[in-house]
Amino acid sequence: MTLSAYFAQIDPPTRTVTIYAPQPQPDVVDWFQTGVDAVDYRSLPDVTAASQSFFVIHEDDAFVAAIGLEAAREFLEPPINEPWADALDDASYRRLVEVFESTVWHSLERRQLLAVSREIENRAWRAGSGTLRVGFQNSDALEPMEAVYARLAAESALDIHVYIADDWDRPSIPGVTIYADGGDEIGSFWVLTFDGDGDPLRTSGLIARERDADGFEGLWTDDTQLVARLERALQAASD
Amino acid sequence: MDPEDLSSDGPRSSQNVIDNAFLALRNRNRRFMCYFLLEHETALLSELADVVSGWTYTADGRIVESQCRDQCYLNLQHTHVPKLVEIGMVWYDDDTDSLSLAPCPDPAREIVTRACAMETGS
Repeated sequence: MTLSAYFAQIDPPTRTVTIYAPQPQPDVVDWFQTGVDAVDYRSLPDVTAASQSFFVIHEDDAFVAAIGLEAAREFLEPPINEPWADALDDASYRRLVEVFESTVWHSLERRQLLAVSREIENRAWRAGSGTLRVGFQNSDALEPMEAVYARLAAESALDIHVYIADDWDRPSIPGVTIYADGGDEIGSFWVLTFDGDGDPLRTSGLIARERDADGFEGLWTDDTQLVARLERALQAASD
Repeated sequence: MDPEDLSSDGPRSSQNVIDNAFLALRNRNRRFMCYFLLEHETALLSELADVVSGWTYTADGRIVESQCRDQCYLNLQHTHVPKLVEIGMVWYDDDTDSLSLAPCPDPAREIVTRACAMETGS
């Protein structure tokens, strides 16, 4: 299967978000703009403090989670940390990431994709072993990440494979296998997979594609089978 | 006598209305059900379970999982809804699984409104 075919058949559950707040929250609705199937607003009494606002996520009509708006703001307007940053270990942050996983996003910004990418690299870093595969649109995109991947490879037993669309004419990165000349199939997508070294709790994958000026659309998931298929599609793209 | 039985001789005298309002409000789950019904007048029990668990636990940064919410649903269904019906604060329609604040007398609404401001206001 190609990356394009994988991307075309993403079929998520129906996900709805209901925001409970004393006043409507248009900026929160924007977070989810077309990222979920419906965003509803239900008022809390006027006297209620705005800090008590929360939202509830349902998937195919089943309750998934309720999250405070202030906690969610930290995730959806994220700081970008390096993979080994302690900040990513915060338990409630991690749970937030899990809740938002398996969501097909239609309006991801580069910054959010970076945050998700760091999250996947952080899982790999903490696992310390397993296979991490990363696609870069071109060598210019890989260049600023050289030091990060060199350190990931040097300080862990991770098996790291990097795919780029064009040539790589810089020195090789110790511990990192680079597959150059992947062409459009690699160049069109932002892809990361980590196999969790067999631990389904650490498995994670991201695929996203740039849409005009609107940012990116894509999916990230911890579903072992979806990640395995994405890995195979990424490998096939570089053959 | 258990104070929860104070209302058993009928909910309609003004003394009983006050007693029953405080009976309703002495439990946190019941309070938050009443706060939400005050705003919307009617709601499905399933939404009240979402709201009561979400509202009471997320303010300090916690995430409410489905297990917690489902336990809340059972508590409302088996304990708190029957109590609110018994003391004349709500109607419950088990065909539609919905609650209505319609029977709640005005003085009791006033007490719920004040409690809501004190507990959920800034």
